[in-house]
Amino acid sequence: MTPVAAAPRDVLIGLVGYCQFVPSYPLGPELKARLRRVAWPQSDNVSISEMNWSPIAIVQEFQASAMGFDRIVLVALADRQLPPGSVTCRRWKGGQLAAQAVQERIFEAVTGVVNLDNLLVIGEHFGIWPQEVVAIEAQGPEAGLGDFILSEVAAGQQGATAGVVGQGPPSPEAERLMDGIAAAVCRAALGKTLQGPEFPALTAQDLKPPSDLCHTRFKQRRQPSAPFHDSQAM
Amino acid sequence: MCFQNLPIEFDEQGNAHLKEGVSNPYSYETRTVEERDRMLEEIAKKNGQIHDVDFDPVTRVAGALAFHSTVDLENRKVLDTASMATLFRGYEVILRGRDPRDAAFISSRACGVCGGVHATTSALAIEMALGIRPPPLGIVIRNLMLSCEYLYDNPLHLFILAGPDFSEALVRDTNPEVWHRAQTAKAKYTDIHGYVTIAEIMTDLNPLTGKLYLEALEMTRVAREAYVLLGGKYPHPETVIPGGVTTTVTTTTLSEFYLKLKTFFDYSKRCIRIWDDVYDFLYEANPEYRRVGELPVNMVDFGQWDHEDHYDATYQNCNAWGERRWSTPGAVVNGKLATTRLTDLNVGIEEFIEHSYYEQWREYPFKTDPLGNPISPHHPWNKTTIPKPGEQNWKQRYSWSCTPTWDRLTFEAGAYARVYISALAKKLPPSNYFSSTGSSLVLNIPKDKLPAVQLEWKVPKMWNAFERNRARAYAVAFNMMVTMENWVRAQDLLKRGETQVATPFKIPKDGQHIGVGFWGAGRGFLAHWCVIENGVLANYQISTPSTVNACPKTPWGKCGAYEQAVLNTPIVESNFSDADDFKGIDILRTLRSFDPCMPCTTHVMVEGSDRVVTREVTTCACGIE
Repeated sequence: MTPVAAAPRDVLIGLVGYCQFVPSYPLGPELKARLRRVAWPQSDNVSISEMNWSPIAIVQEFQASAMGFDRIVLVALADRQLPPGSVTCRRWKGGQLAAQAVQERIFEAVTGVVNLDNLLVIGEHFGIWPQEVVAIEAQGPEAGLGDFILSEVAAGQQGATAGVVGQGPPSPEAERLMDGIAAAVCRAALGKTLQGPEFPALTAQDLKPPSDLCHTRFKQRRQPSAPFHDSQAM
Repeated sequence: MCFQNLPIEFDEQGNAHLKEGVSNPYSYETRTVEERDRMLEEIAKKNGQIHDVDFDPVTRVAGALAFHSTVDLENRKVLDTASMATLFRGYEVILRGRDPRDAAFISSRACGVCGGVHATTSALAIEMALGIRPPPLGIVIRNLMLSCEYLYDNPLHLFILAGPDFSEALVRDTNPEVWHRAQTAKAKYTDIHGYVTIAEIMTDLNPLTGKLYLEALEMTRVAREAYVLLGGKYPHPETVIPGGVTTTVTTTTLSEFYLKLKTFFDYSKRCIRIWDDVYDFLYEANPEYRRVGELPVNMVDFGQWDHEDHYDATYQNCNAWGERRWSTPGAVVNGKLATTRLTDLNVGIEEFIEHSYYEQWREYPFKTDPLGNPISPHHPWNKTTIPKPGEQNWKQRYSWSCTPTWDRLTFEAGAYARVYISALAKKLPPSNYFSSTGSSLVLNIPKDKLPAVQLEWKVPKMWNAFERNRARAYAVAFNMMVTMENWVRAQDLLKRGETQVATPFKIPKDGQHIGVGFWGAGRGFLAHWCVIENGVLANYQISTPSTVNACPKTPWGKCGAYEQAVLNTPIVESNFSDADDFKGIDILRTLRSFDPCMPCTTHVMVEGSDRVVTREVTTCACGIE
């Protein structure tokens, strides 16, 4: 890749997600290798890090190491109901969330769930983020349970998954997706400013809320005259 | 005579055999739940205050546990319950046909919190099947790693997952009269934890801001760091293998390990006394709390932390090495210790699928265990996992969890079971750090900033949600003291030059070999059963604590632990006027007292396929790799 314009900053590029167990889903490692091949300007201190850990572990790592970055670029696959292969780039603006909403995400974090939205919220709550945080989200293929690992499902999808995330040698579609993500990362990491329409705001209120931690749903009030079995359905 | 329901008796040498003259020894009657329907219909006719209450998800992890209950708000009673594991757990299917050496790495992914325990249980099962005895240091290091997982897991539950249910924020909202009383209630153990009133403790249990909440987050980090010193990474260690571990341990490693874990000396003292104070206060504030989550004491635990002088990985000697574990295996039925023999525990285990989304298997390849003791066609060695998704129907199938029983009884599992059984059994090996009296567990916790103390967990008069949590707090200290015992032993082994940590082995290319890993998770009871044929896994079965606790009803209509405990729970919550502002805090406290961990019981099934995926196991759907 050709060198890109210089901007003197300490920048962290974090790849968020964790799926080391699935061999046929190589987008992350491919992307990491590709970003490492970028000729980052000498004047910058650009770090590329896997952030495939619980958001709480990442918060604690930041707190323990007193890591200081001017800008952090977080990259993840996310379901934003966009066409598969879409890449969005938004500046994280934080925002207030109710304590219970944060606790719900911590609940997930401490029990092993790795998730960009949780990381953004929990990082915000514990104050680890610098002023400039960018979230780059790639829309994966429409996925049902079991995609990415089952050969029969992959075959059933006629290569859709393989086309978007790549299996074996990256397909042209996967190449394009990674090019798109890498270009977005470069812009986000090195752009002089994150103002303007290229970086629309992402706030806590924009995130998809997790289901309630322990919500109580009164499905149906049982009427004495109603046939009992009708009220059995969930 | 430990079996009351299975037709099994023993000869004078303790060998089990089926009773003579019983034509179908493992038969059972299936009962429908028509009675339940009739009962509820009758109540519904008389009372318009009945509501169906769903808690979905109870755990946020993968949203995989849903709990349905029918509540009579006017009379403050729970009328009916159903616990559902809403996703298929498919490791049994994934592992079929694989190299046995894969099992530890794959089964580890059964949980994003406690993967190491699955890896170790798998290693134990393979060791037994193939006759691999680990060297002493390998056994001791494995124990130390297990302790770290528990020291991560149990404080996490006490203060991050369940703790908020007892915080000012929740208590003030659900039971303002209790909060009012807490503000003047003096804590008994101020000298240990520093809090003068119960209200101060509750305030520091508040999620996100409470000091106890934040401190627990920090302590999980300490435990993880200690684990990584020995295991290389957490939560899915690559260093646990059949035959031991692959880590290199020196006295420097052990010193660093000690420096990490010594912070748990004082923490465990405070853990115990904080929860002693909270629960003692709540009982005084409202005696009805004694009935929240109440169950008869039926529990099973396999024990854990092998003694390096005794563990030889054989089934033939498992009763001997099992009873020398640093926590004692056993089954408790109605509060009485029924057995401490691992063979009895194994022989009594069965799994039923009448209310689960599985097909009944037909094969019965193992009529006995390797010692000739009879085992049921429903035993995991005989089980084949055949998923059969279908519609939810309370009378028929409603869960992806099967129903494990011991001696045809549903039972509960938990960190508290190792405390309870070790206390009753009075068989712990000699230690300077802990001992069992037959009715209590005595813990000698060394000095750090706080002075050395001797704390004693006594078998409680009642068994309920609060006692589960209290015993879990004592389990933190028990874990810590077992850690100290094993840390000293590791030092001694290194001094003696016994530095080997693993025993090499080969996978036999032919023949049939069976094994079982008897172990435990932070949440208790954990076992893996394997059958190896011609060098590959022909069958693999995992039974987890959450399967035990969250199971649906037995074929004969007996509730699982969650279901029965919630049925027994009174509605103590006071601050509601109707269904719209009812929080169900008492039901939730009951469920959370079991430390539900649904990644252990659920995974993903693809319709139209007999194969399964693990994508939801340790990650969200957003994983980029």
